[in-house]
Amino acid sequence: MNEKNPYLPYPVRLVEARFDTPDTSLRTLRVAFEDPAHAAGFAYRPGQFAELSVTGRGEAPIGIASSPTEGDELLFTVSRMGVVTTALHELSPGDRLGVRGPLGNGYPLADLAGKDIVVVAGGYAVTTLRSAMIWLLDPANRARYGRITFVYGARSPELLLYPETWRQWMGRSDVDCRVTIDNACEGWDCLVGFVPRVLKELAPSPEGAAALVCGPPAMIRFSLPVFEDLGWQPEQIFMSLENRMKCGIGICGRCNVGNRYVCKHGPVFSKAELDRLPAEY
Amino acid sequence: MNAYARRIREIARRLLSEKAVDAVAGYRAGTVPMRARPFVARTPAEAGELTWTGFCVGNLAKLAIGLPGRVAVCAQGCISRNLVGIVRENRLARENLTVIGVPCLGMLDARKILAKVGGRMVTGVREEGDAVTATGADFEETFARGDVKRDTCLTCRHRNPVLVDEVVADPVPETGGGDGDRIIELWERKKPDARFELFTRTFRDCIRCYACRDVCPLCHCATCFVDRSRPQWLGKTQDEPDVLTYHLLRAFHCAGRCTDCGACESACPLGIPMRRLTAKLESDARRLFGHEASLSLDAKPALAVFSPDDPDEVFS
Amino acid sequence: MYDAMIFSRLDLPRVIAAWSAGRAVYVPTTAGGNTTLAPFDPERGLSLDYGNTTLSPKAFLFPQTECLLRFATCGQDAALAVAEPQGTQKRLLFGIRPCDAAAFALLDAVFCQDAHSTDPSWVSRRERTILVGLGCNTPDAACFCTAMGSGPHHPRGLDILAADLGDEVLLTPVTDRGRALLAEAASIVPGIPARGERGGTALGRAATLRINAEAVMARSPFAGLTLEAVARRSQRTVHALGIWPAIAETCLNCGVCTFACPTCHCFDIQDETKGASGRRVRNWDTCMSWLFTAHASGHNPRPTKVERVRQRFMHKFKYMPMNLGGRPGCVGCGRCVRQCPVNIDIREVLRTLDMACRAAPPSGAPRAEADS
Repeated sequence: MNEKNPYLPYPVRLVEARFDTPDTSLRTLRVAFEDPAHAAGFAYRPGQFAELSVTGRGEAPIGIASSPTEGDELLFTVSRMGVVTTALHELSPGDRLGVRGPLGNGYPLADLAGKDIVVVAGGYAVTTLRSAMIWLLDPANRARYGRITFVYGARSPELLLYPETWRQWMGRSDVDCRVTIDNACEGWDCLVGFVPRVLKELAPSPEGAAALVCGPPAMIRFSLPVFEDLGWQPEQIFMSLENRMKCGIGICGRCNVGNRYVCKHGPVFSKAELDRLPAEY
Repeated sequence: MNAYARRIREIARRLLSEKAVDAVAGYRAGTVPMRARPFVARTPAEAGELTWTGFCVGNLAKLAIGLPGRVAVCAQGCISRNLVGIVRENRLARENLTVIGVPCLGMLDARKILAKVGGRMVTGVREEGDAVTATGADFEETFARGDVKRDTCLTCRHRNPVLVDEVVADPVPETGGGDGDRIIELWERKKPDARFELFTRTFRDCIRCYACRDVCPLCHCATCFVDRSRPQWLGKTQDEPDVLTYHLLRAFHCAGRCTDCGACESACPLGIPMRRLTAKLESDARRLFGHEASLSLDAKPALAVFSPDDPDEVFS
Repeated sequence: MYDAMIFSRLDLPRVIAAWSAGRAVYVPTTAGGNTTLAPFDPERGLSLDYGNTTLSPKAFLFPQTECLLRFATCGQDAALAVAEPQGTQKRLLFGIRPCDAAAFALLDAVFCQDAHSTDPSWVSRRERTILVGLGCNTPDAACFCTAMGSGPHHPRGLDILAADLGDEVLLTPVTDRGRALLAEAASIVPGIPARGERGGTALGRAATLRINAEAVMARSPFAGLTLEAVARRSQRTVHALGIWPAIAETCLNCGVCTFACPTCHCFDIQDETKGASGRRVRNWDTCMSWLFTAHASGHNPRPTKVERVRQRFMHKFKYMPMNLGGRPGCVGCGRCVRQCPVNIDIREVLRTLDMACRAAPPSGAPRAEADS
């Protein structure tokens, strides 16, 4: 975060960009800071986000998909939805854009040391969970956690983000990686079925465990009862919210859920905390 | 309680207890002096809260757009025309509407009363016939109604409701007596530069709260052009072009439909003389096209029909 | 307070003229039915005969439209944003009311939360704006500051509190900055330190004015408003009360209440370009607007006016007290009461809310509720 002016983005350059899905609705951008000092100033944690800005078009809050353990470059996967995200889809490598952040609280990974971690992701919402997984599996961190399980699903194989990354995890012995698609299709070599069903079969024990859950509303709605049936407590489940945002620092007033600002006190909330807030998101 | 209020309560009680309507939109007493509050009565008991004063200056036609079921609406001449407008524009079905017609002697302008008493604090206002008496902690002053009426009421051309199902009182003289065309002379005798200067000055205090739009029964678009974000038609700043474009475009949207009811002017927190625009709209439609908006359910708005005889002056 | 000063009412314009050296001084000015804080003009003199400014003075610290950044849209430096330098003009606002000063103090907690969330332009403007408030001797029918932790002669947020004693004006410094300012004035205009018998009389008269003003509000039909019951209920309980549709029924969903309000501070940030350059600009925004919370996907967590009206009152009476140690997010200035086109009265809303909270079935232990 720029110390003198929280509204001033760091200039970054687009290093590489690729469309993730055949319908080109998702595009992953890799960006590099122009000034190494800014990279140092941008000390982030998995689960945080940044306001990406295309000057002349505006800013959009996007979750950080890279992990700080991967180096100074940042990774963002952007869904084309509004004015700014469309502009982000039109950038070419070498173009300059702005990054303002890191913003928000991130996943409470430090507090979860010693625990088994279950990561549950659906579709495009996997972005910040990619960050969390890379961080957890980093040699500097892996030993501090117990079993790590990664459940990831999408409608069809081409909608699964970061295949080279999770394929690599599948080859590792220190992570249980289960990737699934909704309906069987030719050439698919992993699981078939909705995420909640895979989760049910997996039946993760709540004992000394925590879950990070991000996905479309339907996935969340059907996954939470699975956890509940297995005896998980609301304090053990962490979710990341989205709301319309502008300032990103808890001042401009629009992203609140009850008395909490998604941009500042979130985007990650425990289910226990969400249960105390009005469901206005 | 005045005779109008008594009669409105009677009618509302009857309509509600006979279940002829689900709701009656009217006014109840304001919480501060010189105000009345739009109110929806749904039970005969609630009908007892209805009232009528010179400060009933909102626009119940706008309120009626959002009300479910069959509604009765208290309406002066201008509001009855607004009701005709929203029925014709398919925002309210005629069979779901009962008009409680209120012949109108003109609504009051709280700003004028405050100016008359030199800004002293008014604690109450009494209306008796043509006399309007303002009282304060240490004063009581009586004015002729004509001196403290809203400008739009001075030049009103249809004080009796044009669409009536229930009658509150005998008809009153049809016009306010003033000449609405005089307001637009303000524009017409000026050269373009001076006109633009006046236009700019008129809206200098605007804070873009959109009360004028939101109280207006013509402004019922699902998404107003100022709220469109893709594409965004208009900037959101206080810069002159943004502010003026809002008012000018809104005026164009209302041309030929505006009854010059004055609700926008009454709603404005800064007292901007909105009628400099609306009176012009009303006057142009009348003089150029012989059209007065929403006098009957069959009449089409001036700009919704084309005739080879239409004047060309409108393009000049 | 021995460092207060008494000036002749006739000398007050001279005091203000003394403060005008090196500062832009704004004073209450009534024209065309509206009262604003306008640049002090010695020729025009000074009237203390006003209720309150039509709009709150917040625009002095938080302008309705403000450029945050500038950028070029073409050439080598395209897309490189630079912060817009904030002006360095020193200002003095004379005659703001204690309610509005209390609002500034409240907004300090919003705009300067911590190192991470500090708004530089608020800080810059706040630092260079001196506030000389004038106590209210005649609160009007819409005023309810005493119910919101302030009062007609309350000093919070001010540098100097002035009391209009009729023939004299009592100036009481509240901050060191105010003390210095008072010394500055006294070096030019003859004033009398409010000490001894003379001082005691003036202080006594000021106290009487304050007590009388408070008594006016105590006689209001809305006297005795309290947030106690709201504070005892969880935000989820208050949010789920059945009162909101009726409160919102006649609301036009315009932005008068939020724009006139001294504590409403929500804003939007947008980019604008013209030719080879552009700017990132922030504008006041309003929670009454559909667009305020609309996601790009089309989803809207506050889709109708009922949710939006509820948000405004929840923010003032539940969320801000929870976040600000019990302080309500309202100072009782009464502008929304005076200016709402449909006369939705925030005091009546609070009374309805209070009664509903008292009547609501308890949802868990009281202490656990209040903490959440």
